[in-house]
Amino acid sequence: MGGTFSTDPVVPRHDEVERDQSDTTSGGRPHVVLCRWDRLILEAALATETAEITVIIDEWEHANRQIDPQLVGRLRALKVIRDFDDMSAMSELGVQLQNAVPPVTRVISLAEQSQLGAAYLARVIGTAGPSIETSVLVRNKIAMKRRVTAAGLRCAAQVSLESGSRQDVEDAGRRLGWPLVIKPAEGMGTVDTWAVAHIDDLPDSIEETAKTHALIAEEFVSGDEYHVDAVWTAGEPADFGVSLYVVPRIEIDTPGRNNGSLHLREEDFPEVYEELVSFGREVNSALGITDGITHSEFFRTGDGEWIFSEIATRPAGGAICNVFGAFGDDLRVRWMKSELGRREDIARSRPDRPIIGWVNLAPATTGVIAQTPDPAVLARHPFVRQVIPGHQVGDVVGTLHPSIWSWMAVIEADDETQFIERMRILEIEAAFEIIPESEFTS
Amino acid sequence: MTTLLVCRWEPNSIEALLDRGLELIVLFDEWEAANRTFDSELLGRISRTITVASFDAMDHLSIVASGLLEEGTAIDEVVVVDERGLLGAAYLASALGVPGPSVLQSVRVRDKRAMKLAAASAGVRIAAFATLPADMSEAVKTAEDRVGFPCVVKPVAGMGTTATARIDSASDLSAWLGANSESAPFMVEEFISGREYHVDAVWQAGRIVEIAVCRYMKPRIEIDNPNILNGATLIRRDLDPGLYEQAERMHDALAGPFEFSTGITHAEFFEVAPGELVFSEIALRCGGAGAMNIHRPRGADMRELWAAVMAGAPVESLPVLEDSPDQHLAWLLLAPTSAGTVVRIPTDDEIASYPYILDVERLAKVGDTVRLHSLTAGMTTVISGADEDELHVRALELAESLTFEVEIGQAP
Repeated sequence: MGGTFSTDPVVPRHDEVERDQSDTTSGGRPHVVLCRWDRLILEAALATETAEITVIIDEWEHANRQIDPQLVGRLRALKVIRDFDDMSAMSELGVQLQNAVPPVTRVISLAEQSQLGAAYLARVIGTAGPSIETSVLVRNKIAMKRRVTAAGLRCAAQVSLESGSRQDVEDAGRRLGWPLVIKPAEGMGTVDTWAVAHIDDLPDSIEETAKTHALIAEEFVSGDEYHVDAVWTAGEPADFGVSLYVVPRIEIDTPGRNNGSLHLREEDFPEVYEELVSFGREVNSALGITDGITHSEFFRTGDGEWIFSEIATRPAGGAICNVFGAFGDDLRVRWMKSELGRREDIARSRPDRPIIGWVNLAPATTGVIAQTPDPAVLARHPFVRQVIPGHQVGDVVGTLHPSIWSWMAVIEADDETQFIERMRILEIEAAFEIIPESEFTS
Repeated sequence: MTTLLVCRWEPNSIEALLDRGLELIVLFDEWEAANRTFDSELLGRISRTITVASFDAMDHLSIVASGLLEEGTAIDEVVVVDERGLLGAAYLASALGVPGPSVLQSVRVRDKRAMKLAAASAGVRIAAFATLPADMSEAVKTAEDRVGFPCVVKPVAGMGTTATARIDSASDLSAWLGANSESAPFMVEEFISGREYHVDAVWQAGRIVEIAVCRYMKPRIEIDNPNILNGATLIRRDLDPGLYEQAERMHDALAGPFEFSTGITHAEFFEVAPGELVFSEIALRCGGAGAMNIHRPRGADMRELWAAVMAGAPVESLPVLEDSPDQHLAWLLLAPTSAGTVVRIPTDDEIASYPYILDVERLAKVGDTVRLHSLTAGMTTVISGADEDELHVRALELAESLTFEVEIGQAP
């Protein structure tokens, strides 16, 4: 039955650039596929010089992001797909990449939006990457907590809301107790998240949001909220940092106030580290996470109990990864070095101040940005380690929620009180001028 | 009780599974929910239905998977009864961590380029092919250089002969690509002239437990009128054991790369010279049109065998398909010959006046709107005859006499 055999150098759906398949100059290096465009991560990956890099972006990114042609020129390929959630498009791309030269050795998702697509792509290509099961579990808070709870770990109790109606929420309140936290089952950060003290305080927007998003109601946990950012290798933390949010995320009512966190030194909080490394391992084990970067959140109640909140298999938002840059490489750089065989090159040092943290400096109203903070004014303070520019003149701020990242600063302090004081100074000095959008358009 | 998550709606398959005592949760997509007519009695036997936006939308399917995980609904296996649900079924099986089509298997079956490469890797002969670039002039050049004319152009992830054509020249290819751009991306493959067959096989634990080979009355690509010789003749094993042995060898070779375990496959191949087979394609589902119905006069619709293996029935208890030594069988699709609204269908008395019609499944009813393609719905029949020649004569007789009347211009 043997006979003809056709090989097919498959033509991609939409390639911005692709090196000729006959170009075999990879020198036997691995071939890593990065999903979504992130300049800092891409530069870190290319700087390792250990792998051929293919980047996949979606049509939205292609139309809206500044794709640097010089960086693109250093890639094996840049491919554009309709949408990371479009299985037909991803399977077509997977078939192309099955025959890529050199063979693809790993698929990595850089952002929340590409989590499902990256896992699917890895499976189609038949290469290393996140599993589909894990990608679903980390995207959906209901399934995630069910799995973590089943592993015997403490999570905030939750129920799904069928309709988001008053009756629905009232039933949830009876079951879980008031106040309640209401949020999308599949969401990122604290977008569309409400703390509802009582049924009479129910915002109308909840029922409206429920028409398009599955919502969950969750037990309100009072206590301190921590986040853990880590890079894992074979189930063990290669980098692991614990930080305390200035206030729990749910209590932030405007993105430019109290919106930051303080990194805790392991030497100052050895027990916290020990407990959270252990808890983190168990969470990962329950969800099938062994390698890569994670951003997870935990509450600590007044009596010292740790309660798991959620985990994402992507870099944290805000300036959380930048904070690591104050004592070595940015966490995203550490991640790429770890993934791409340069673990020995990761720069790590002891934090030279007890507290290093970050703060988000954002507009207090919606509208069109007419004036931004002056970076020189912010940077003149000796306690400011880094200023990260955000919104620029002409940008439109359409909504205000705690995950609207604007200008940010990495700052140092001797203790928590001093950190809060310094954060407050920057919040005041970070002056935005905003023109209401209606006024601007008229 | 075993619970299956069934992707898409195919009433015969669903009924066969229910008859085996399986509990079913059926997923429809929004198109099906809006356009299909569901048999209420059958719906009443299903535990639950779930509607998803599309079987290609990972975000929606992940919500379905999370919802089932959240409820603690125990799913024993994900099964697919329609090609368009295959990628989604594999995704759900993987997300739920239960048996079902694998992602790799689903992509190898849905994407014709991957399918051919997988078949070739197993030493199975395939037609030469090439994927066409999006740019028209490059596409034509690729077709000329890599395959030549005549060739067959088709979508890389198509189904049946939808958006598929024989192309004889570069100018024809340009014109065709321009007119069918919505079905891109495309591939071209070498035009194979020869007799075309379909093979339907039921598998259990990676072994074939039933197989049937049918020869199409006309190669599928040549069907320009869905009412004329739109069917296939069952090849009796006793009359051509060599062909069966070849088909079984081909399937055994394909079992590895396509990960066949327990289920059903529907394959197509060409016979380019006596004893010389060229693989065309394979699907992980029951064959369409009359490919399953043809076995009803032999003892059982092949979907009943499939349902039995899905329910874990032992081989010795499967329904037995038997041939009558003085009879040949064919399935035949009878269909409207123009697009529009159906205003009259053949009556029961008209059908009964042809005693060689052994089985009828009506697909179109008065008031339906129909479009014209090789799978245009009308009715599926199973007919008998003394030999293949008589089956062809009878197929033409029925095409002329059991007609559908259509008001032209009512359908898109």
